[in-house]
Amino acid sequence: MIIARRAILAALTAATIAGPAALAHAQSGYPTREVRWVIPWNAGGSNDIMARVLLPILEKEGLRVVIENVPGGTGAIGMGQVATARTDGYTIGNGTSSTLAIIAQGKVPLKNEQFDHIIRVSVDPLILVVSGKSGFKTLDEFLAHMKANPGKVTIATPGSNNINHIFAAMTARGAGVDYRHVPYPGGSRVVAELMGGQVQAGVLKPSETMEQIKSGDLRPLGVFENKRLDALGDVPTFKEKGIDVFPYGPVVQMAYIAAPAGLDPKVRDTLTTKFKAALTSAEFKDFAAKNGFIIDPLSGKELDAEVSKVADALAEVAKHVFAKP
Amino acid sequence: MDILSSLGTALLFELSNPYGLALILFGVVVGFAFGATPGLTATMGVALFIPLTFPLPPDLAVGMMVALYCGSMAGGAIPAILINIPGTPSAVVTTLDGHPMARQGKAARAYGWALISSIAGGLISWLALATIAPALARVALMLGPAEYAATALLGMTIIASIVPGQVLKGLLGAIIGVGLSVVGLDQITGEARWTFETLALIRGIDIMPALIGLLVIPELMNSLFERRASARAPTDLKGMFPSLSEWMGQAVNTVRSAVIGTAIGIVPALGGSVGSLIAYDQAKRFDRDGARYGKGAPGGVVASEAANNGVTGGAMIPLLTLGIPGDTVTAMLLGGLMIHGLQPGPRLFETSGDIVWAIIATMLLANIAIAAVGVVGFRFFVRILDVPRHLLAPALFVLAVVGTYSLANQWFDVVVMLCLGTFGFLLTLANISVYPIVIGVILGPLLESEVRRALVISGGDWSTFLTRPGSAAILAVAVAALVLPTLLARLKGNGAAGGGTPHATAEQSK
Repeated sequence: MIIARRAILAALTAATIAGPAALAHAQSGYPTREVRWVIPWNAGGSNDIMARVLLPILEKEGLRVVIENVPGGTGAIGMGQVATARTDGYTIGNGTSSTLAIIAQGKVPLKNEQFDHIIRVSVDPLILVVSGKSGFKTLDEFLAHMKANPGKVTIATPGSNNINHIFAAMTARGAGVDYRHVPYPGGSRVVAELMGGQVQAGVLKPSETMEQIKSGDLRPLGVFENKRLDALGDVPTFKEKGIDVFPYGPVVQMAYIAAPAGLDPKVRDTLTTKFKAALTSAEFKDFAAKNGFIIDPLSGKELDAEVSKVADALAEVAKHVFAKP
Repeated sequence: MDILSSLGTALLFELSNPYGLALILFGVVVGFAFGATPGLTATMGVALFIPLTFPLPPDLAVGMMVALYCGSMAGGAIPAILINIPGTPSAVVTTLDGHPMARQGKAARAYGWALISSIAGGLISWLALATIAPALARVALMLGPAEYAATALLGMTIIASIVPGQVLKGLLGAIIGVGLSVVGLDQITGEARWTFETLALIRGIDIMPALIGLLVIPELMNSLFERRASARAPTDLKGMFPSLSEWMGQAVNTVRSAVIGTAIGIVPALGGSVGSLIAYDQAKRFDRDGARYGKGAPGGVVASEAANNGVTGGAMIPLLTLGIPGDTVTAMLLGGLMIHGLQPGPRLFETSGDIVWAIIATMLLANIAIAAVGVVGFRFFVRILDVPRHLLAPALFVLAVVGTYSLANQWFDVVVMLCLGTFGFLLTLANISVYPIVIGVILGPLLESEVRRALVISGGDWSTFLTRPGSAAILAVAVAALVLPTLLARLKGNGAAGGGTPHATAEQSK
């Protein structure tokens, strides 16, 4: 008992004396404990799965993370928690283009300045797909059909006011006609409705459709990029067909790590290095290749520039595309 | 024959692997715990387990996650019966009759029924999964937003059977419920509705906080205000399982509910709670004892639980055959498959047939494990009824608060839960049932978004609901469910059949 008490006393004294030093040490020794990683989407979504694949790889790099799903409000709820968290580097979150879009449109009380952007995790190209049973074999055929039936062709997207929605609108713009935009709560619903012939086309990620494309249930018609995708080499881009899908600036579907603004540069560096190592690991590359997304780990000033470029383009595009119903 | 041999091989392989069997049992136990604890969901269970399964080979890993999913559905009935808290949204309907049975001292019997029906539901949907899954999944794809909207409306008709003779109060509650579900970002246009520019309201009012608030708080308050100390009859642990003849009386109900559950599970948009709502409604209409539903009729528990567990097998069908998850749990399972290097999609049967069959075999074994875990586990859980009320009520209150918070780590959810709880208590004082509100909250978003989606697709033409054969048929059933009973009663005059409704009203307003 006495020994124990003495030990505690000694420890306390030591802590008081070494207090400031210990604090300094803690900072240089970041991370000393687990980092809370807020995924502002449902468990089981693509962001969540990616984080769970990264979790053990990050641990090998010496960064232990705990994944916390805080879904809702197109990611705004979780990112709101990140924005107001302590700037000690123990809270990070997944920023995405979708959340950027609703911030850019002023739909949520959040600002991009509230975040430090750490590193980009993934870039998802988007493609226009139709059912494998549909009569449209090429993009030209589909666009011709849109022209022949102005305002009648349905294009489905997961969610609305996001990048998918923009590209649906850009497809119609390419055909020079109006269309019917059908938003669904998630990519898998769009796949189901496409396969069942409920809607005529959809704007989705290759990662959501690869297996259905391989089995012939879905058919990709065009890529919303300026160059063809490695995974879908025979699918033409919209650019090849003379359609500019980026008339308001570059918009890209991406996910990146964000922390509350005002992070210690050292902590930021640590996070960047460890994430970069995990993102470029063979395991994660393998996962990315299998699921058809691109790893492009931009960080630092380049990422800041990219995020604001995308945010500006989104704000601009919102004025033209997301017209009131 | 092909199916039998594949399945046989998979089963033999599973049975010859004690390690795998232990993992399935473990998965079911954890699933029970997650299902039985308000605030822990099956989705969280699977999410938490994914890192633990990294070192395992894919078949064992996925098997354990599937076992957890099955276990959680069966576990949800425990708190629903014992303390009127549905452990999962799908168990809401189980509280309707399960909890009144517990109040009559028949908690063990209620759970016996729940367990048997859970397993029966699980097995019937398993049969569909093992035999005709690919065909079923393709048929389900023919349904679109118009049919989903009609199904949501059909689900709404249950309100008429839950609050017999109080149509106006029922409708009022449903409207309040749908109204609550409107808060947040519009599902179609993304516009903020009733959010007052605050982050918390942008998220909207989630189903579980509303559910815990509306069902648990009034129940707690009422139990505290009850004068008679011996309101609860002593719990008889003997006779947990009904006799064979009793069960035969519910056989049709079980099969019908399981089939409804399986069908709803296959459809990618609907989810478990819709299945049990529709199954309960149909059971009540077809049961000669229908008037007793809601006051502790075993048939209500049977319908709800058979449908619930039918949904699990049903939901696996589009997941395994098309790579399309129907709800958040199956989405999480899809993630689990992907993390273990499998590519869920229409080719999964071809590329990883052995693993698919291992999963199917696991589901069969999980249902057997559910029986064992349920019988043993319930003996512990039922002790909760021995706790004196003045201790149980505060403990449950804490559980409601902690459970609500842990759902999404949001304090605002707790505020919503408490506000709706208080509101619900005031309503019960005025003899207004809270269930229509609950149903409005659950079905409102589905009904609204699918109706609007169907209208976008049809270009604003409402006739789409009648010209599409599927939705026309479902709407016809819904209208029949509402109008036929009254019509039949009128035709029979004021005979014995017509007596049910006024009688029920009299009891309600006591």
